[in-house]
Amino acid sequence: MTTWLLASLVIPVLGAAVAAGVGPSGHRNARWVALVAATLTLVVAAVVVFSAPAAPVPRITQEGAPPSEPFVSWQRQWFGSPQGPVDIRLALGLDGLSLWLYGLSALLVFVAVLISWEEITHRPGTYYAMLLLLETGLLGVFAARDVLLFYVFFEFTLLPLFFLIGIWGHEQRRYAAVKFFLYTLAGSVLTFLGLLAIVLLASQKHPQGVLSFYLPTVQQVLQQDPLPRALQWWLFLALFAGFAIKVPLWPFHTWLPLAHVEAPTAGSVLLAGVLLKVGSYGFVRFCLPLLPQGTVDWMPAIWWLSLVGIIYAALVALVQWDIKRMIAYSSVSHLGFCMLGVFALNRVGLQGGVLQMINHGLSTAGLFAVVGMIYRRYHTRHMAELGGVARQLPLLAVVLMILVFSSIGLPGLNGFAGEFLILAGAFNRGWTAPAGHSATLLLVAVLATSGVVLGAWYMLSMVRQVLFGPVPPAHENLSQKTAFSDLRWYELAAVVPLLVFVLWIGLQPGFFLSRMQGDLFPMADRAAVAYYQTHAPAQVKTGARSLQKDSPLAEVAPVGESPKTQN
Amino acid sequence: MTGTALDYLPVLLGWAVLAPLISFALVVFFGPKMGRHGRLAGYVSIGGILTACVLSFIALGIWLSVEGTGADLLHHGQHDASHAESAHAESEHHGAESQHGTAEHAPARVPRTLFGTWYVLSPPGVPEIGISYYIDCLTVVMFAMVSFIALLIHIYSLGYMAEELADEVVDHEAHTSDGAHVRRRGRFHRFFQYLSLFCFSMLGLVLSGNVAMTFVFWELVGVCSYFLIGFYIERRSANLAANKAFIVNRVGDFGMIVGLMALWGSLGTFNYGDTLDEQGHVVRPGVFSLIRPAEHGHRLWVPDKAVQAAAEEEVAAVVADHLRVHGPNSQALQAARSEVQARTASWRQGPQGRMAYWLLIIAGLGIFCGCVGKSAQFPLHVWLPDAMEGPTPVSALVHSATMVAAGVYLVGRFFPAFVPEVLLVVAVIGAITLFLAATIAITAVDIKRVLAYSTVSQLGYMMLALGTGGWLAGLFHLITHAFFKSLLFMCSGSVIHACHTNDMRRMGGLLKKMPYTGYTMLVGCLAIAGAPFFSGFYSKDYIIAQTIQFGLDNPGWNIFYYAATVGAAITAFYMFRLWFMTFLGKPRDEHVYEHVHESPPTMWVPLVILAVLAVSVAWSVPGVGLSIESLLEQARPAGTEQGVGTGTLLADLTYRSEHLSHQEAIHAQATTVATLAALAGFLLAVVIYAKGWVSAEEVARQFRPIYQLLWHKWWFDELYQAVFVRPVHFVAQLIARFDRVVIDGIIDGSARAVTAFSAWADRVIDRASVDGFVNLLADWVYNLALRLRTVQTGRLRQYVVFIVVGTVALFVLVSFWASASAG
Repeated sequence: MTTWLLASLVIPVLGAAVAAGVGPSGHRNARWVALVAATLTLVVAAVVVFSAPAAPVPRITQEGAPPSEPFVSWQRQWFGSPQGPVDIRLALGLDGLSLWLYGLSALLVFVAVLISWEEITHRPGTYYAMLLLLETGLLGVFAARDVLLFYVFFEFTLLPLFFLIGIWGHEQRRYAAVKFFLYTLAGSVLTFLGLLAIVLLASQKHPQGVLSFYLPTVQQVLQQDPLPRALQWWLFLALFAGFAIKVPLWPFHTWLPLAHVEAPTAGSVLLAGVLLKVGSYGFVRFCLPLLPQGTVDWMPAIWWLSLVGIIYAALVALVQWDIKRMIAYSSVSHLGFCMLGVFALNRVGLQGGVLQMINHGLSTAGLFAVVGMIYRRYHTRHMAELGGVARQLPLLAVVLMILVFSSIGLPGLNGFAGEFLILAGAFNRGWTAPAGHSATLLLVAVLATSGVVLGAWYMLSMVRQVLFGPVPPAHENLSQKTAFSDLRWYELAAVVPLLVFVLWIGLQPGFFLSRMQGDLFPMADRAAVAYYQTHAPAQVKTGARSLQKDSPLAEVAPVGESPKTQN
Repeated sequence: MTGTALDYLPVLLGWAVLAPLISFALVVFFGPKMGRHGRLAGYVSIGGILTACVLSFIALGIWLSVEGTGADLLHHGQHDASHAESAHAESEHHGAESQHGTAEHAPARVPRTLFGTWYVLSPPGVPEIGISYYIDCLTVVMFAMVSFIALLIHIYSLGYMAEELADEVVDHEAHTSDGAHVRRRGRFHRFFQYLSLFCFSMLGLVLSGNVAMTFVFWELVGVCSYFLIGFYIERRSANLAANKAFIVNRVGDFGMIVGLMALWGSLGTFNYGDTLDEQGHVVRPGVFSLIRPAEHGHRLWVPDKAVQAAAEEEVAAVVADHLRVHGPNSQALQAARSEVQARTASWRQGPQGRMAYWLLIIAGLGIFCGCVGKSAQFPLHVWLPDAMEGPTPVSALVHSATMVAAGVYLVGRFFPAFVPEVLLVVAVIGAITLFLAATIAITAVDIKRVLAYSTVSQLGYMMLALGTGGWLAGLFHLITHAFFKSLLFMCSGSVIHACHTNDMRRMGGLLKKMPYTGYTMLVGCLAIAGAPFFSGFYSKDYIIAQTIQFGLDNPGWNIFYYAATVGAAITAFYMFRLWFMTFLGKPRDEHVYEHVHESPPTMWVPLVILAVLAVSVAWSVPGVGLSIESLLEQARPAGTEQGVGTGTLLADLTYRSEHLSHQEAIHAQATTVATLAALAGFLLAVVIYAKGWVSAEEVARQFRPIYQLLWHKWWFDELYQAVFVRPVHFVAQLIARFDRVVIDGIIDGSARAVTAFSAWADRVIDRASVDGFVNLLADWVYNLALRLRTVQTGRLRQYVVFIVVGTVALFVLVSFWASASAG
């Protein structure tokens, strides 16, 4: 498996080199090179991903247990050695958290190549090279197990996307590209400082004083001897700066609609599908395990920001006339749900949040892809200028309909599974919270549920205007043009895999969840214990640490999900 | 559990659910290729629903053969109830004997139910959502009713939708940009595809064994309804109505999700039934046994789990305490467990018990909220009349007989878990709805809208019945209503098919030309108005009797009785107004009248069948005693026979046995009042519309304000538009501008500030001091660059190659170096 993992990172780079080298003789060669490279990568990544075992659900998490080993990993020393003084490794590996995000990245680049098939005619070689470089960056971000390596990949994803937006984008591409680049860079510099500080502080607690960037080492050190509470608060703030912009949490979202609208279709697909997840992934990967106390202290704030994001972005989406802009705002709303789930700090919510990252990646990427197809045919994204698309392009209409319902959270499709788990997690956090918090948290959970109504509202309004109703006069004669047809083979090839997963996750979420739980549950349990230790009444606190040691407690306490029964 | 023929029921009904799904899949993939214009798709769909129907009736047969007709239960129950009543009066004297004899102290009858899980969707560690079944007699009866009516409507649709069997269909209600009618391809197979999917979802909803699965199918029927309302996608009004239906339903679902979460938070399960192990012992109790445990005689009981969930902190303190004393070992846990159990009783009396009760109320209200949406109850009733934009068979099946009744079904299903306070809310909502909708139906002129408001009103009746404790009454009316209302809708469809208009003001005198339609519709009108010996008569009687009984038990709550009686009068009035305007009198529009013709046999044969049933479905089979009531009585939830119970928050609120309302005195009163009310409504309709002794216009003028109110449907659409839709859009516009100007402005502003600062720093610091140093550096770089100039070709492609090759080379080098230093 290790070889395959490495291969998935190298193939896109090689493909990029070839694609860039095939010369300007036309986009035909470059796109084929890109397709071959992306397909190969996808196959290789699929082999890796589907070899993941369905982990047995851990009933309890032993305190001080080392972080679980990923099912596939590879590492070489980069600088220094494990004995010190500096320990930086080229460490790659996949666990339950990164597994599906890694697979999603490989899938969406494949989709992105097919989406660009006819759209990109300007310097295609460079374009596809950028796409493939971006793929390596994305796969690397999710596979990295070393803090420095993670950051390198994290920043590396910025560059290709900057060029994709800046060169192949629409009218305002320069402004959008620069804004996207500077805004995210500004945030991620703070994140980097935060990560550096964590590593430095961890080295002081390391038995041999090694300055280790290797994440499992850092995690183990900090689990045994957590950082002081005030420090964790500040460090969380630093990490928050970069990740919250990336997610994007309200009010750090304004770069997103702009970047989406100006980006070429493939750019939007990857941006919405994967790049946003780097932010929420960062929260789960670094904040929860390394800064449990900071996470708990920041949790109410994040709940409120998520809630505002869910409703605010849904409302803004309701009055957009540009379909792409509307979907961009719906992303902000959906990512609010993801964050709410993650910061429910319990098993149900966390896995719901992570699953929803995948779901959003599939459905929103699909939506952007379909909007790109509509734009290519009608040369407008203005809802009022469109209409009756279902009559002219029935197949495309079916695809759009399924994706819309996935996004709304229709049972049987993927969105529902994630949404339901997130709400279950959030409500559960509310029910089980100590008296002082319970009411507030429940209020947030109830208000967040209203996102379900707003989501249906703006999505179905879009569907009504675009798909149904009469065909506007400007488009009545389009069907006679030769270039105008329902989905082409490459467009079908792009959306069918998305639909397969939309249905698969919807009908059998257990398959996906059971491959995440082994690693997510311990994380959730630790966070839950930290929450409980902070907020429980004084007489309980003393017992809480020992509560984690045994499992039959599950039968004592009422509902299966409260932290003390979990651990 | 010994093996009986009942063990086959899950499989039978499971296949009954799957059969329409199979036909759906076939039509989706091969529909357009099935014969000319997809003609055979209709037959494929009929095959699916026919299978389901046959299987359902086999299931019903098995049930009857094993469990009997239940006739004895019904009479036994009545006997018991009256006995109970007299026993109450005499209990002073015959204490011991009456203890034995009263229904309220007799051991509760537990209905036969089958519960099991086929497949668990969710992995361990999350709320269990399984594909499970919960079968009792109610399930079986609902299956038979839904699949039978659906079958008839499928057949009817063959005729009604025949005009879709063409290469070009002219849609008279949709216009292209130049004002011409829209011409499009026929969509015959598309219609049957949705119909099959709907049947699958509806049957699945009835079969589902846990609330979460119910919710899943709940959403699926919603989507089918969305597609069927918007079937004529070219019509703007149809699309708006479809969106309205879905979004309004979502508002109800919002409440339902909150309810589900409260249920899970307090009980930790969604399952209706108990999970048993091999030996038949209860492993995990379901919702019903938790709220009405057998050891408490199936009386309402706040479950220990809910109390402990409410006493979260106290439980934690106890556990922590024991762990501190004994250390973390199983002995400590054992001790903690027993102490928690021991203390639960005292918590139950304290604030924790009250909070646990509130959890049950929230769960109940939340679930009812979903039912309000789906069954179009006030204040979410506004979507159903608009939903009439769909083809008429859809209105008959989805928007009158089955889907909208799903809300009532769920209230009936969840009945044992509703606490009295929740039931009171159900009753209030039902009463408001039945009155409101009936009044609107008086002035409506669109034949389908009259029926739509009548549906809303009848659903209100059912909710009122359930809410006043009339479990049997409500569900009985659900079944009878399904028959006569689908009949009425299909008749109206036949009329519309002939007239090409929905407007009753352009009809009149159609009886001569459409005898089958006319007379069957008359049967439907008589049934819904509650004419003696028609099915509606019996079920409405039950409801009114129940409201009388409720008023007796809870003084001051006679309002339900008045509402139901007035509603009965209005119902008779608007139904006969409809029939007289359509079929009697002189044709008001000659043009329409000329083209009128009786519908084809595929359409009128189902009408006749339904008409027969609309009369007789409530009758009992002579000799055997088999009737819908006796069947339903078999499924009466354990513990509700003696009445739901008394309220905790509203201590005066009491629900006594439903059988009490079957006593002679109450029954006679109900029958008399209901019949007189219906007669009054009928006579008024005769006076105004059949005989024309009083002019309708004159009445409208006399009572202008009331007429305006009703004509505008109490201004609900306008109200919601003004209170919800417009403000939301307005706020959304504001927020969008805020987003652009303020939030984005701050970002751009800070970027500009940085630029300005840099320029200043450049002037002040750089040039003065740093420049000299930098210039020196620049010279070096310049010289270096001169040498590198040969590489520089100005072609970006080449640069990228350099970058890539460089990256790869670096990567390889570093890897080698790293492995060398590691090894």
